[in-house]
Amino acid sequence: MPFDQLSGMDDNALLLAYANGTPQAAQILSERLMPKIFTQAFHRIRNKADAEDIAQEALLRLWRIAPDWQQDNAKVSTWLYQVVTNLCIDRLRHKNHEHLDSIPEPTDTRPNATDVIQDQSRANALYHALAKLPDHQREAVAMRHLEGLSNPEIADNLQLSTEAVESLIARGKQKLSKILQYQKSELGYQDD
Amino acid sequence: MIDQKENINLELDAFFTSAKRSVPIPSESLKDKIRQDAQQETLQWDTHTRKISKRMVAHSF
Repeated sequence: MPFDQLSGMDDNALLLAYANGTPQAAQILSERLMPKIFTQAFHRIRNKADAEDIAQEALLRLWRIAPDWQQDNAKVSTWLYQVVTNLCIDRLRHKNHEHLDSIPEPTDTRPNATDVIQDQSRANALYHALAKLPDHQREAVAMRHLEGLSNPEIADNLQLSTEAVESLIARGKQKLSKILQYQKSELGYQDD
Repeated sequence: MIDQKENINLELDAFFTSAKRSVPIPSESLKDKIRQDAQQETLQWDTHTRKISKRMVAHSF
């Protein structure tokens, strides 16, 4: 099958094509999905190597299920979201609830060190604040504002209505704002 | 109410932007590993299918 034709196919059709012996379909699927699941894992685990392991494992499970994949099943992206979420939970448990502060900061080679440090401080503050939200609020806010998913996509992933997702995000952001309020001056807000 | 919402969005935007900027780029080797996994799986299906076919042929005699 020509590459162009494969590129135009949706995720489910690509998975079916892969299961039917078209290896290029897996390549297109992984190029499409890997950045998303890596980002999802990184925001939850905060460690590049672990996020890469999780992305690889999640896709391996997808390749394994491909011959048995039912077209009526959930969307591939929804299925992967659940797999990545579970893998992240397992990884965090395995690390024996390692405190966020003890996770090494990712190395950054961008030239402006002050910006990098400020980004890291703000990111850390945000992750700590997110950790204080109830599970669904945290997930909904992270998917919307860190991973760039639409509200209907989030609703699919969380198996909720779009209205419920909108409400979760609004309440989550209100709480985040309150939690982060006390840290704003320490985080260089006077410069913004 | 709208003003309050807008204020919250403005306040949080900087945090979200910083967190997004702090996500590293996945390594090239990850792409290779994923490609190899996908290839390896199809080989295993082939082996599995051949084993089943052989069993079916053996049973038919």
